[in-house]
Amino acid sequence: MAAASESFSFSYAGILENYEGGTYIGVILDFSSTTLPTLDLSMFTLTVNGSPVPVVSFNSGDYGMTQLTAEFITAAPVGPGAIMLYGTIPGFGSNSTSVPRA
Amino acid sequence: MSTNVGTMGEHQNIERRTLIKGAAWAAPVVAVAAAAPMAAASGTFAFTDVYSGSGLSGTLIGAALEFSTFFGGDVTEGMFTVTADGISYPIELFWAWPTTEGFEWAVTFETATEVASKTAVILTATIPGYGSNSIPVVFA
Repeated sequence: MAAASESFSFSYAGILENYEGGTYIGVILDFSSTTLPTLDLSMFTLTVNGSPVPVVSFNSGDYGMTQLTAEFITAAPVGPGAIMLYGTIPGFGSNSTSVPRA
Repeated sequence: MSTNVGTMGEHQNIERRTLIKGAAWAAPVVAVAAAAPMAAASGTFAFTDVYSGSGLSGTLIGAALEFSTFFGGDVTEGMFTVTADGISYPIELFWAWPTTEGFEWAVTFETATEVASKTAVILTATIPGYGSNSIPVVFA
């Protein structure tokens, strides 16, 4: 596991508002270390206007030496409002990003 | 990257080699096997929806599958091909999940590079016991 001083940030967030019966949200995460964690859904919370949104599918992949992707599909299209994604990754701390609407 | 293509391909090769080797000297066993419903049709499936859009690396292609009878297995990447103008298109990411346990699945593919919007893409699935089906992918 990375030292506690390592960090991460969201560098990109994209959205398809009507995809697979829900909403697709894809993000790229930048890490301060080349020792990358294994991401899982439990590390993230997706909210719309502050209320958690159920996610039915999650996937993560390599994107670069210090980057990973995380992709989410929600159970239903997200309603109107501000979409926020929060992440807490062991050894890398916490961060959040606003997901721009399409 | 996807994780299950190599493993599945190796398994299929081993089974094929075993079958060819056995058939040369064990005809009665083959005759018995032919009478058994080894790959009997369990039902059919249909694509009920298809989705597309821009993903992180390339083009996202999603589809919904509906089975006519209870499907107790896993939907895996090896069951699908994505072709564009007759040429197989590489898949960077694949994931699938049941939306109605045993009867409906959703699948998502992400191609390695963006597919040109005018390209005719065909998604084909072949699921053991359930036959084959294809659906054109129309880009939004």
